Formats: sequence, structure tokens, C-alpha cells
Amino acid sequence: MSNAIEIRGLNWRPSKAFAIEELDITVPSGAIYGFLGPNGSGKTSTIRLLMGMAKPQGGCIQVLGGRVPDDLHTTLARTGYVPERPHVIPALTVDEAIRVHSAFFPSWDSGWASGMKKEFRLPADTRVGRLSKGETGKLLMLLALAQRPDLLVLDEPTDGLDPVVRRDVLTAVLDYVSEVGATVFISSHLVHELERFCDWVGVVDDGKIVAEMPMDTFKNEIKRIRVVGWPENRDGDFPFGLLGRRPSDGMVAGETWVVRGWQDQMTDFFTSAGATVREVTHLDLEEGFVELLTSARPEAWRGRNGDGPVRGEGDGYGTSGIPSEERGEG
Amino acid sequence: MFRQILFVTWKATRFGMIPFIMAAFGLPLLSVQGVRHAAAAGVPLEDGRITTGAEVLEWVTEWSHLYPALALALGAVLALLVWNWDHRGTHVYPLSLPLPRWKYVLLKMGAGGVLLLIPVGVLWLGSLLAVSTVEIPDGLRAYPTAITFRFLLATLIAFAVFFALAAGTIRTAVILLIVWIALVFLGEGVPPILGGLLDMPRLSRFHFLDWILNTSMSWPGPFEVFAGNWLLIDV
Repeated sequence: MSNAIEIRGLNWRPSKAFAIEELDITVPSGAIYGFLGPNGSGKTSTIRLLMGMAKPQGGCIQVLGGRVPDDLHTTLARTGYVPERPHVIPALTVDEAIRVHSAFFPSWDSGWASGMKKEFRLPADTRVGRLSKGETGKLLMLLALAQRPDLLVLDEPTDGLDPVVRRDVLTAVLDYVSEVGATVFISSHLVHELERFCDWVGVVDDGKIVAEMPMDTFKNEIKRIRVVGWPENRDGDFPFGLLGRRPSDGMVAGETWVVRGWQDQMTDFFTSAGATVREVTHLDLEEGFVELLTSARPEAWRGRNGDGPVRGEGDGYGTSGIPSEERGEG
Repeated sequence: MFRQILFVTWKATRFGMIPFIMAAFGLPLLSVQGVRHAAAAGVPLEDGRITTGAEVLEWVTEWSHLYPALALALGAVLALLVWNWDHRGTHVYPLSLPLPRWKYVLLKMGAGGVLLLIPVGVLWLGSLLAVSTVEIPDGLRAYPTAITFRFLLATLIAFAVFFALAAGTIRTAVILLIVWIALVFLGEGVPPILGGLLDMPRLSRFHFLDWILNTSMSWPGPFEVFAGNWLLIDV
């Protein structure tokens, strides 16, 4: 399987307070990839780097087979983009905005755009600056989709929209994807929204990828286990993917581990190390998301050298808990 | 593509341009107002009738300083307006277009240049109208086309300079300002000291600001056009 987006070792430090560090992302072609993270975690920054709007200090970005920024104009011609905040000139009317935008994209589908404008019930002669939030969201989606892109990059496209508009907008995306087979990279902090239609998920926090895996895996295989008596200095080839680990909060005994690929017989692994598994809890996407973030926060980290989360290297899951074959490597 | 950029630039600048278009039309008319009234009614301008070329020249010369000032203000304001929406949108829209940045900048500059032709054309019309309404004394001639051409050059230069300045970020502008202040400080402060130390009177008398002003405002300096002849009626 080829990848629509490959980011390797991305580094970017726009200020002293925030940095993206050694970010790796792999988005398989044709996937709907949910990019999850809390506010301020680096989602928009990553997207801006992906779109060539900022220059990274290190690392490599490949989009649709082209390198960013070297092949930026080729990739942008095939990429539909909906930014976090409306970017269309507010003094243009809806029709003018569509006409201006269409001039830059050779693959623009005027018929489709007209149909979508009617379907979205967008007022042709109203200025963009006077549209409601929902109408603006629809217009931005129309502009992105009518380019007939191979890749859609959506930065919180439904943030602040009411449920009806949100459904309209996401339905338009899904219809397009089912028709064309495009790849979608969608960022959001609304977990439930992504859960419904994403088939891959990446979780980012504080400029770092915390986990990246197929949605099914995220929903079905993420467990929270409570481990008592795990030896301080013991590292190991874990038979599961260890996504996060945090010490006891003082209320309950033992460490909390967030793992993937858990099977009941794996308790033997802990027994052989002199530890006990007290509790195994299945997590849905939202719980898994929260657990991952809680475990990944620096103050909760308990890495081998005290400088990062234990990730289960050598267990075939790689550094992000994803089997290499699922990441499209090799 | 250029048509769309031109359209967007027009939408962004049209209201800001209106005062300049009015001024461009009115300035030539106003500059001959005194000549026309005086000549028609026989009203003395100061202490005599406007019958001599010298008096006409004196009148139009008084107004001539406003042409380069208008050109400078027009170029500056248009340049700022051209970039206004891009800055307000933190450049996200243009950066998301599949267009090399240099090409986008060039298209924008071209669009601004085309739009400058409106006030310039209006100034030409105003000048033609102005000179057609006055009786020009013998020995003098009207130069409506020449002054328009000069105005076009001046606005283009002002637009180009301010376009380049306005394209950057505030950070860039601050850096440029600091560099300029440092240059002025060094240029004005260092030569007298060096001249005294090296016993070179010419170096002691060197003034950086005078030098830069003279160099840039006289031929072949880039701003010579602002300092030249701006008389609508001349010998």
C-alpha cells in the first residue's frame, strides 16, 4: 500500500513555548485519517507544515509522492484544504469566491460546484464575510471538494458548527471519498465525530505523536491495565504494544498501563516478572484518547531514562505501537 | 488567473482609491483655477493682472508640489491596500493556492500596476480639461501628457517601493527600520570622527542623509522623478 502522506522526523520550533519534535505520520492512500489531539497540541501547526505554509527545521514531508516544499505546487494542485479559520476574502460574494478560486485549479468541476452550491443552499450574492458560520463552513468545503482533489486536508472543519450543518459537511466529504477514493486527513478534538467515519487515527500531544493506528485497533484493542509490583529496572520485550504508562496516583495501588493487542494469557508475562495484573479495562475511542494523553503527558511519563514514554520497542509494534506492515512500510 | 487577481485587487482597493481618483481629477483643475478666474474676469492676482507668462508660471508652480505628493501617497496607499487582505488572513489563502510565491507576488504587483492606470488616466483627463479652459499666454505651453507620464512613473515607483515593504511582516519592517536608523547613525556620526582623526576635511564635512537624498533624488537616482519638473504649464 502506498502512502498519501509520509512525515518523518519533523522538527519545528516556532516559539520557545511550543515545538514539534521528531513527528512521524503515515497516512495510507485512500484512508480517512483522523488527527486527534487536544487544543494547542500541534494539529494546525502540523497541517501548516504539511501544506508548505511554514518551513520545518528538520525532517521530511512527502505528500502524494512529492516532497514538500520542493514539489509543493504540484501537490497543492491535488490537495483540497479547509483551514481552521475561514481564509476566503470576506468582501467577495459566494459566486465571486467560487469563480476566483476555480481559476487556480485546472481540475475544477464547475457543474459539481453549482450543484453543491444549490444543495448547500448558499446565497450566491451574499458576501463571504456576512455568511453564517455554517454557511462559511459549507462554502469552504465546496471550494475544497470542487477541485476534485486526491487529498483532502481538513483542519477542524466542523468546529463550532451545529449538528445539522456538521452532518451536511461530513456527508459531502464521505460522498466525495466514496466516489473518487480520495485520501482524507482530518484534524479534530471531537473524538466521537471522527470515530464514525475515520479508518485510521493518529493522536498528537505537545507536538509529538502519541499513537497512530487503524481505527478498529484503537477501538477494539486498546486496554487499560493496572500492574502491581512491576520491577523498577525491568525493561522487556512486551508481547503487546505499550502505548503509555503512568505511576500510581496514590488512590489505587499499581501503575496504569495503556496497551494494545492485549490477550488474557498475557497475564503470565507479568507473573513471570513477579508482577500482578489487577484490572483490565476495555476502552472506547474517547476513553482511549484520554488515557493516551494522560499517559503521554510529560509529568506522568515514566520512561526508562525518565525522558519519555515506554513504547515497547522490539515487540514488532515500532515506536508508535503500530506494526510495520500496517504502516505501509516495507 | 491574472483576471481573477485583478478582480480581487480591485475589490480590495476600490474604496481606498476613490479619494485619490477625485484628487487626481481635481488637482490639474485647481492648479489652473486662479489663472482661469483671473484671466476671465480680469481680477488682479496679487498686484496686477495675469497677463504675463511669469505670473502664470508662478501660479502653477505653487501647485506643482502637490503632484509628486499625490503620486507618493497614491502608490503607498494602494500598496498597503493590495496586501491588506493577505495580512489579515495571515496569508493562508494565497499560500494554499498551487502557485509559486514569486508568481503570486508578481501577479499582485501587476494587478496593482494596472489599477494605478485609473487615477493616472483620470489625471490625464483632468489635465486636458484644465488646459482647455484657460488662455495660455504666448511663450508658454501646456504639458498635460508629459505631466501624466511623470505622474505614472512616480506612482509606479512609489507603489513598487511600498509594495515591497508591505509584502513583508511587521518583523521585517522593524528590522529594516533598525538597519536604516543604524545606517543613519553611523553615516552621520562616523565620518566627522574619522575625518578628524585622519585629517581629511572632506570626510569631516560628509553628511550621509544629504548624500543619500541627493543621490536618490537626482539623475540617475530612482526617485529623481519626484524632484523633476511638475509644471502643467511651462515654457
